[in-house]
Amino acid sequence: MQLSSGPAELLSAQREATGVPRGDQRRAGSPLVQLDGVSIGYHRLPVLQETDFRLDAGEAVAVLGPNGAGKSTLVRGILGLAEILAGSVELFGVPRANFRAWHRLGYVPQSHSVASGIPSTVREVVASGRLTRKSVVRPFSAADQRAVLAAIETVGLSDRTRHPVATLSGGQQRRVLIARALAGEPDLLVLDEPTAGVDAESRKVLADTLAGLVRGGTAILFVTHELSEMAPVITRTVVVEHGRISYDGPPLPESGHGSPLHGTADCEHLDPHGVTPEAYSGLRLSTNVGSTKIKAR
Amino acid sequence: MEFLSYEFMQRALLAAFLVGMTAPTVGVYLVQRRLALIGDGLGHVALAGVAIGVLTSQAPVLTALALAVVGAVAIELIRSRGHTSGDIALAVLFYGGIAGGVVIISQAPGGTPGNLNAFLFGAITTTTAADIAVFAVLCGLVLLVTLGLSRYLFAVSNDEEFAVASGLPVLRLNLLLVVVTAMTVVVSMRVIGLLLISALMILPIASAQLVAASFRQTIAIGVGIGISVSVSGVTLSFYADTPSGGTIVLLAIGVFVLVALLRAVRTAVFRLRGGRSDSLRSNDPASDTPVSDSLLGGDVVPGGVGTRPV
Repeated sequence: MQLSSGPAELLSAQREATGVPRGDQRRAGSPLVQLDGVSIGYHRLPVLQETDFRLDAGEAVAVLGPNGAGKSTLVRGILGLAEILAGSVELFGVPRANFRAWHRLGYVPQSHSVASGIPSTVREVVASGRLTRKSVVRPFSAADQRAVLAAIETVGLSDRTRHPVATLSGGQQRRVLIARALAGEPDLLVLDEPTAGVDAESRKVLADTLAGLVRGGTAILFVTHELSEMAPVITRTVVVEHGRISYDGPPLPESGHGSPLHGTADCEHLDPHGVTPEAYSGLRLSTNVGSTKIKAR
Repeated sequence: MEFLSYEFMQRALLAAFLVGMTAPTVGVYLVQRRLALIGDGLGHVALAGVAIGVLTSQAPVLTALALAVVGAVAIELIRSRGHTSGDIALAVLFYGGIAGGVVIISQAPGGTPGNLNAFLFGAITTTTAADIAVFAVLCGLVLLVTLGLSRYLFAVSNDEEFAVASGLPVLRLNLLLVVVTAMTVVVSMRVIGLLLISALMILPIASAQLVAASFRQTIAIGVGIGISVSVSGVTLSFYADTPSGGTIVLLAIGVFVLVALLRAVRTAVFRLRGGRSDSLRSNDPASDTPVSDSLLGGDVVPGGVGTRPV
């Protein structure tokens, strides 16, 4: 799959084309996401407890952890898809309840397939991501159409624009979902298991696309159970275990299994900030006695 | 063209045209959301409204409209709360509607449940001039929503979770969709019938999705089929002396079977020639396995999530 060179350039060209300034933040310098003492769950039962978390512009954060630990719950709470049971959630410096700048947030769900019973083209699906910048009284303009096409180009599917989504491969469908999130030109892209169920080659394309976005200034937060091809993209790792954040710091060295929880044997690959395997296992132990988190930055 | 000289036929054809045009534009979202049977339920509820109209000597179209809209809002609110008892609540509403309808009409002067036949299955002689005026207004409102807000309704129907995360007014859009469904049910009550309207929302779309390449095309083809079968169904029922609703629905089923057969034949021909339809199938050698491995229905999603309906 030939990916168009420079997704980042494309996206900034797209921003110029649509006349959307990049830094239209309400409060410059405030974190994109800030959680203070937050518990998140479903049906009033917390899955993630008393969590602090902060994400700044320019970061690419991977949320790792075993299944059922609460890593998806963390991002779902940020997105408003799970209940916030305690604590405060701020998005772009605004409390979540008052947050209205939806276009600044792009979400790529975990769903295995975007194909519904009704045929819909790549362009039709991606266009729904542009609605965050529209309202009922502001119909689609030529600039919106351009932004949709630019988002499709960013994920390298320009030759598939008019194809029904159901005829695309699993990896291509995942890229359609990313393009849909990009159509609103977000400052933060949130992805739930972007590489799950995708073959190695498509994972490489996804990683290249995301790397280009990060270079272009888009912050990324994604949940995954294995980093593999995504490892070079990230600037920070968060590990969620037993409903708490057990590690928050520089990317962890990868083990053969691609999971931070399966040993960190190769000391040469340790980052200079000095989280040793011992320190890491110590951290893991400390979660059990309730002291949950350090910032190793 | 003898049938055109009768005023009742002119009205019936106009009503058929309106409902044939409107029903598929609603049905496309219902099919996408796997809510294909909600029209049926609202038809049941509307029946109680008809009975109240007959009992109180009000226009049954208006009382049916009022009750169907209230029922639609109730159904969506129950559904959106995600109550585990949602199914039961819906059953109470649906069967309460039809049972209430039968009992209430029996209390009307000279009323018997037999009076409901025309409302249930459609009849060409029943459309009044006042009905046409109400239907035209309702169809205008329905099309304003289904076509005017198509991007929003598409987004919510295609991926409700994404719509929530995008800050779209999901509950309001869902309420709007069930309310226009209720309006369409009411428009249908003269020529199609309350028990058969769901078929006219679903079947043209089921046929269209077999051949369309996009959502927009599915709507266009669905509307074309909807208008064709309702207008020809009313005409046919004039000559064959059959209930118009049943005739229209049988035609819609005929179209569906025909389209499905033609598609199967086309696929077989492609296979025999060893060819592929490029517009229908990705053959990018660099990509992983295509999701859609068959041009027939039942496209298998990786991981065995499910098969395509119809």
